[in-house]
Amino acid sequence: MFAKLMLIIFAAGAIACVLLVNRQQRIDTIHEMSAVHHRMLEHEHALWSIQIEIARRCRPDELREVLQDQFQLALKSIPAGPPELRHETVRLAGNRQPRHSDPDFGG
Amino acid sequence: MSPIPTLDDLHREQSERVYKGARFLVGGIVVALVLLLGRVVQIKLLPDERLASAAGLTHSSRAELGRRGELRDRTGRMLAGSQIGWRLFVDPAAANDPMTLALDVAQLIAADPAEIDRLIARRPGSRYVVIDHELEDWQVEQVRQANLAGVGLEPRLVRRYPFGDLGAGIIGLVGIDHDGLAGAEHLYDESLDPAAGQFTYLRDARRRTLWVEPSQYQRAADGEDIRLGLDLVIQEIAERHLQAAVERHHAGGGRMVVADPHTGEILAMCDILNSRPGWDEQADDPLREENPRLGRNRCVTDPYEPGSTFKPFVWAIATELGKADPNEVLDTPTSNGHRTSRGRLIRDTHYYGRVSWRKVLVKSMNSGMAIVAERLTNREMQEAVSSFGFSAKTDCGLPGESAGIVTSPRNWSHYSQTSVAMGHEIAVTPVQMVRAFSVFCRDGTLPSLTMLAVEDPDDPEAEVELVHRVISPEMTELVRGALRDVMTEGTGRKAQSQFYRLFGKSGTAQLPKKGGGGYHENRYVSSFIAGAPFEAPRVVVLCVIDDPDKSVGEYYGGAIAGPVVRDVIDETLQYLGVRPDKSPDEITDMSGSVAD
Repeated sequence: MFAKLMLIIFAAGAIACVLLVNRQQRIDTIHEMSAVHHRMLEHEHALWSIQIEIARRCRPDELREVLQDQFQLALKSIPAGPPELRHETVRLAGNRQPRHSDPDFGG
Repeated sequence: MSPIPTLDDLHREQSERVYKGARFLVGGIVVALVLLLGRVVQIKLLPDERLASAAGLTHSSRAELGRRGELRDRTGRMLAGSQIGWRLFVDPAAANDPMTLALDVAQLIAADPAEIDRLIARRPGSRYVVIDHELEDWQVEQVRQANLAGVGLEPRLVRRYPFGDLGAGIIGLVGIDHDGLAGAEHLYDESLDPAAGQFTYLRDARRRTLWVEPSQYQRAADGEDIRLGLDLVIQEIAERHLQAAVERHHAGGGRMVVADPHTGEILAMCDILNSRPGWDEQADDPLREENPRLGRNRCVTDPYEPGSTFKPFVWAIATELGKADPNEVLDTPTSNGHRTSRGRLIRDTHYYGRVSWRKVLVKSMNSGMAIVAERLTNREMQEAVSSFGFSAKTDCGLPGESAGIVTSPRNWSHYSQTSVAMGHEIAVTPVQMVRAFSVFCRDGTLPSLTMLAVEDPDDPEAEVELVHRVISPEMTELVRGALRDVMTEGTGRKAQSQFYRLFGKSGTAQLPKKGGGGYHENRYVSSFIAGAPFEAPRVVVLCVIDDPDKSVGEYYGGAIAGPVVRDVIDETLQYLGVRPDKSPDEITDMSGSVAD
């Protein structure tokens, strides 16, 4: 009888311990999930700031400055070059890819 | 001698000892459990003071910020976007030393301690006093590092405009609560506005999240992005040229609208006011002085007298109704002006004698317009005005739009009949003018103007909303041809382009006195409107120069507004990749008078 009682007490204790550990793990997991959620939000907010910064740095005046400072190129408005070439330049304005060797691209 | 215990006796004795020990152990465990239970009850019901403050509220709730939608231009460039900023607040009750709180905070963010002290004193007893609504990055870093008790940072949305003041009047702005106050921000506020989320969680004494019930988490919904018809490059072109013209002519202001006549998209719109000390009755805008984004947009709110730029509309309707044939020769005066049937004297800048009805438009002759206007009934003239959309709002969406000023049929007189034919006794807004002129760039139908970008202009299914047909396609070509001659033979010669065949019309009207009472003798509103290229127009550009300084030089619309329109059209069409439709040898004489 006594042995059975002891067994029950220790079994109940063991179960309680396991439940406590389980509960703690669940709390830790939820806490971690919450922390991950917050990190995701922080990254999202950082992304918003980066998008705005990209937009700001893509302004034509900013591009003009970078081209001038970094590559010594001038962002010229089309048409540029000698008058006899102007119409050809304008015709190409819609789809041409500028190259550094292109006289209309500056440099 | 005691008997020797048997093995059974020994077993019994051992069992009793074990039994006694076990009873003590069980008793001890039971007592310990009872004590533990008692402690739990005590903590729950009568906690220690130190514990009570930490164990009070176990749930916290936090708003999750959703992003306000972006405003983009028609090519996708970001015009306005939101990001997280930080608001600084203090809780004087939680500070270690409330007396030095203002000084400590001031040192952190390099602010005036007296100002912070005043903010705290203004709300005595409050545990939430906002010190700064938007901190800079270095200030946020300082506050975080200092980690002062009673000083907190709160995230909030802040609006950024990457292109600065470019197109500021159209884009508008948001207020401190991130609600649209002006311009497109206000117009599309409902779509742009995000829905904030809610995050309710069980926390421990150190405010760490312990548990989140899925049913108590509501994710924030970002606002919808809006793509406007505005093109920032064209806007920059328009603002640059208009600003230069206003300065060059020391004008009171200038307005410009660039629109795509086929889609009805407003590609650029600018409104400049120039403060000129010493000049009376100038257009002003106190709100704009406070913030350029808050000012009224005069392109939609302030009507102006169009003068001769109105003649093509009357000319088209009169010709369409058969009141005059383009080749019909009219007896206009050779000098001294023309007397109407009611004796009104109509003067011209130049007199040509017998000229064709077509030449009346090309040379912008008031007398010729008056002669044919008298052939129209009052009702026909009124219908001509309204059919082009004058006297009605364009409903382009911008706030405060005016419908213009048109004399009511009841007050319409013979004087009105001849005045309106010359663009007087009528006031229109620049957007109305651009929409009406678009009729000549299309097949004679009046489009709806829109602030929004058309999804795919090349998609045949993307129908542009039309108001109605105004004139026939044949009449459209006829008017366009006459307006092309205005550029080569008439008042638009100084506005000829090297690259594109423009068609347009100039106008110079006297500046009305504020509050009525007639017109200023030597002050004008000069304007020019044109479309290009000739065969397949892609843009319509209107430029209005308000009150140019006559002492500086020329003041006629063809001379001062025309070249601005030409330059804007040239750069815009080149930017859009439109092939020039003019060869260099086509350039005609650009000299000579451009009166009117």
